[in-house]
Amino acid sequence: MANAIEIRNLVKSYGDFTLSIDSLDIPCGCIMGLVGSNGAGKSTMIKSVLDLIKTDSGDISINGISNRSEGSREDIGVVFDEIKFPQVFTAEDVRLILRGAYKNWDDALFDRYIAQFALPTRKKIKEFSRGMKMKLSLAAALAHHPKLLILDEATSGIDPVVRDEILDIFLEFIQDEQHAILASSHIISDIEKAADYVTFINNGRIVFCEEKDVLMEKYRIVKCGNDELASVNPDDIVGKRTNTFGAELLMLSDRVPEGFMTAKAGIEDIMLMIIRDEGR
Amino acid sequence: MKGIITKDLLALKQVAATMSLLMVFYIFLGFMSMNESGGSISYLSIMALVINVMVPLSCAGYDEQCGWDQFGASLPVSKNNIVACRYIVNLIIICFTSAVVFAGNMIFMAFGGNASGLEAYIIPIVLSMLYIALINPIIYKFGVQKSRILIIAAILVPSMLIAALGMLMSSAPEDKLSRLTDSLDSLTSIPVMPVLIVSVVTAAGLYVLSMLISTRIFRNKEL
Repeated sequence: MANAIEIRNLVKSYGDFTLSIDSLDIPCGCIMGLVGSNGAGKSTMIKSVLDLIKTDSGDISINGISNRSEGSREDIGVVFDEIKFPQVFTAEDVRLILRGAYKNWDDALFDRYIAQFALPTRKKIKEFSRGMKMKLSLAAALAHHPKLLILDEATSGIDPVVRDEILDIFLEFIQDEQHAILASSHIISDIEKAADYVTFINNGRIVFCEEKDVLMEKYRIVKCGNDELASVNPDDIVGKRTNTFGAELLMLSDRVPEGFMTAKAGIEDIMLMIIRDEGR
Repeated sequence: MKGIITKDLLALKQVAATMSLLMVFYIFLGFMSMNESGGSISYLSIMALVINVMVPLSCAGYDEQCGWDQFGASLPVSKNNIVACRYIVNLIIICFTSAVVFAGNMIFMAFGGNASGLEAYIIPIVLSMLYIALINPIIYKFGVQKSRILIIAAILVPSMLIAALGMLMSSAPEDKLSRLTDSLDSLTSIPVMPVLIVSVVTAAGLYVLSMLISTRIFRNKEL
């Protein structure tokens, strides 16, 4: 399977913070969810991929072309956390701008998305709701037939109904095996619902990059009392959340001692317990 | 590039009505001030200059407000071309206001007004280009909000220098003053055309230099 994005030896430093990624591939035909706390390095990674910041070192290629080449951006659709068009513009203005920017701009496809999202074409963006703004951003990102969609917190602050609608569009987009999505989000339920792979970044480093289904099977939440906790090998504990009655442990499934009560670990559980553990 | 230029022109559409009204008002004012000796609408040129220098601020202001630079840099347009587009848009507006000044003067002359010299058209163009050449790199470096003081200084410092020169002249001893006025008079004997040509060429050179500096700043900017 070809890779939509390949990152090698990426380093970007901002004083006391350094993003460092040795190797990361995002295969075509999949949705890669990028999770991590605020300031973990998700946006820095996305900005590096889009060549919006000067990296200290490393190579990034998009569909086999260096991310620094203009050509690589012809096949990318980007949705940021906020709409990046002046608030006085209308959807019609957005069309005029992007028609002049992309070789593959498709007016009919833009019209289809505008109709599908029930967006007004003559109303100014400042009069749009947040959901409408994000839908317009998405229509703008998709109407030039991109192969890669990059979404930076695109679903944050949107109500669940609109989010669900947008996630359906992502799933439709990914039906083409040449396509891929890189989506960073704080809304873990969106990642759990749509992503095929999950990359967890913490303190500028990739903690894991796994297939979602494998990840969900890999870890277990183990609930135990203080007595049972004492019998667990500390090296087998990936993360720990203690309370007055005992603890909740994040453990690799094959390391859970027999007889312990276990529950499936969600991405949020895994993320939170690893962050807490690294913070200690 | 077409898309980026379209974006700036669409943003300017928002202030176009105000600008057009101002220019029409100044043409109208010219007619109102007409007398037996003709009158003139030379201040229309000053209005054109004001509009020309407002354009880069308006464009950058809209961009900054919505974070356009980040989105613009994700489009299949090089950062060099993004900056070049801004300078092209500035030139388009200079051409537009110059055309209005020219048309205004033609109408004014048709109704018996005095004809404006070539310098009335060229000087606003040259000054606009110089001003844009000065402020665009500042805007790219610091953003509109942060560079406001520097931009105001860019207008105030030359004005204050001229005012100071005026004060010096008025307080100078008579013999020195007469020498100064004589030397200023000798300037008027210099043919206008070569001066205008040199001014335009210099302004164009500085405009291109400014574009190269802005490009360098934008290429190194963290978006």
